Amino acid sequence: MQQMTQEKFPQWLQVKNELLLPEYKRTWLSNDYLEKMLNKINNALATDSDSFNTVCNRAILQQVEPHTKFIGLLVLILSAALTKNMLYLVGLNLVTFGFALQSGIRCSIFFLRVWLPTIMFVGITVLPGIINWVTPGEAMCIVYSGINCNIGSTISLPTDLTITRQGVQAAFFVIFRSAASLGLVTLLIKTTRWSILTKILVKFGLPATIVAVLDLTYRYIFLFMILLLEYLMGRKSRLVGAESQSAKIAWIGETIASFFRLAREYSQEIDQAMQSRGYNGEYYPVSNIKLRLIDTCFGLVVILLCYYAAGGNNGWIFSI
Amino acid sequence: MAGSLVYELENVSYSYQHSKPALEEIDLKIALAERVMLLGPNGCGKSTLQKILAGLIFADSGKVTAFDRKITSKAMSDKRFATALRQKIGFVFQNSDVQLFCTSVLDEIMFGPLTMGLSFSEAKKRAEDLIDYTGIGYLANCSPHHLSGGEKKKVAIAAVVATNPEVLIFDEPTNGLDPKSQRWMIDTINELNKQGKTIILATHYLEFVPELADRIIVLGENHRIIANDLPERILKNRNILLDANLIDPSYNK
Repeated sequence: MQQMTQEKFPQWLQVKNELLLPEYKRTWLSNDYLEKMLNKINNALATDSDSFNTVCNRAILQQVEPHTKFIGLLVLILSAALTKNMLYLVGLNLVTFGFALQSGIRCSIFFLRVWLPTIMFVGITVLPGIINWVTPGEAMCIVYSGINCNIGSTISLPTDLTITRQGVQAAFFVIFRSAASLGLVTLLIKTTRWSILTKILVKFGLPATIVAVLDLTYRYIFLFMILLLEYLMGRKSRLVGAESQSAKIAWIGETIASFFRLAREYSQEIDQAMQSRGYNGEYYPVSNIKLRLIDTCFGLVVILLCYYAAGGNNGWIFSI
Repeated sequence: MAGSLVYELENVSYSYQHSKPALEEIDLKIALAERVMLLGPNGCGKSTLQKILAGLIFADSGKVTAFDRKITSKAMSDKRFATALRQKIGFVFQNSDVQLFCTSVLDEIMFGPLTMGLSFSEAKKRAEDLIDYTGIGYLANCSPHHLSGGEKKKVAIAAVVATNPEVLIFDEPTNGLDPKSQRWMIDTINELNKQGKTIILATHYLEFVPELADRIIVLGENHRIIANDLPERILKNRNILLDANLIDPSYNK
């Protein structure tokens, strides 16, 4: 290392930076790409932190033994898929929502995770099913009737277009089934630690290698997010003037390349660290099952709900 | 070398993800050309405080003033204001990798001067001066990711200094450097201070305190300032050093 001397100190660096900070002007422009990325990463980290806080709550579902909870919620998802009892489905959705609130899951999160995707995807998908062309039945609402509508010389549409009671009923069944299933899955994910959840999945037959990959991904995705946060800060701290579009694109390209390189380096080191600790391709998740009174109560609630699901309008769920 | 005020912080608090407190009720003044050292245990908020001083993140509450202007997210959304502030404040990150993003060392050092609107020849002159000054001429055309930790640190400093900022913030500058590189780092920081640059550096190594600090600010595990005094007074106060986890009670009896 070279010892520096005052003689070598650049002349321009001895000149005082006399630049005065201007009065800032309010701007209505949206944040630039760095700010947007920073906000997205911060939001992701905040969501994870929020999830962790929810898991740590001392609510009912958080206290139920994870294996019992997994089986119980899985059974309820199956009951929602098989039941022909609409009242049960509505009730199950209400119970799910009630448990979500009791577990400390915010209404907004529950809506975003459950009802928004249900309405956006399932709702739109089942929409054609409510008309008589797809589901014939008793007309609830007549859109048009007795009109001959021909498209070209070969295609002619039916003379009536009605919304049928059977179609609406079927659509509601699909929507409520999807919402209940999504709600139950959200409850499971939000009230169980990720590390425990993956261990349960191994017990229920998911290959250990997949679970190892999931576990490591969960661990390292946050490491990379924090690193990316630092990268963005590093870039931001050095932006001392206007940045051209090509410079932005070049930086994004450079950053992606850097992260690929880092990921490769990390994966090699992690693999070596695992091997040094005896890893031979097998993954041994550790878990300990201890049933308590709360687990028995939870099991009883699930059985009661299933009993009610089985005795619906059309008899037994399987309607054999 | 204290002069007029560069920074004034009043009752500043900051928390990560709105739930993990990082700084609590910080009051602080930093004068021009002062060498201020932030000391404290891991996770006490040293780096967070430095990022607030650099205008990279913004306090949840309280007032941050730099060069007589309030630093807020609104102020920083004005590009003219933000770029002017960035020209006044240089930040050397602990992890040099995060701030080196060009394809060669020369490009890296020229990036700042070119971005602030200097001509290519002026920017190149600055880069060459700094390459000469830091003794990394043999690395000029290398890609930053091929360099060693010490070399990356030198490039990072040259890249930040190239815009001639008034304030230089160093986050754990000696971390991961061999003794010779540490010595180079200390001499460089002191030389920059002699030229009138305000130095704010964070560390948890006490051995560099006498050489690098005019004043010490100690942050505690409660994320508050627990001491703000001259180095010799802080170093003599065993209770403060113990409170801030800066010495090992069983070792430093």
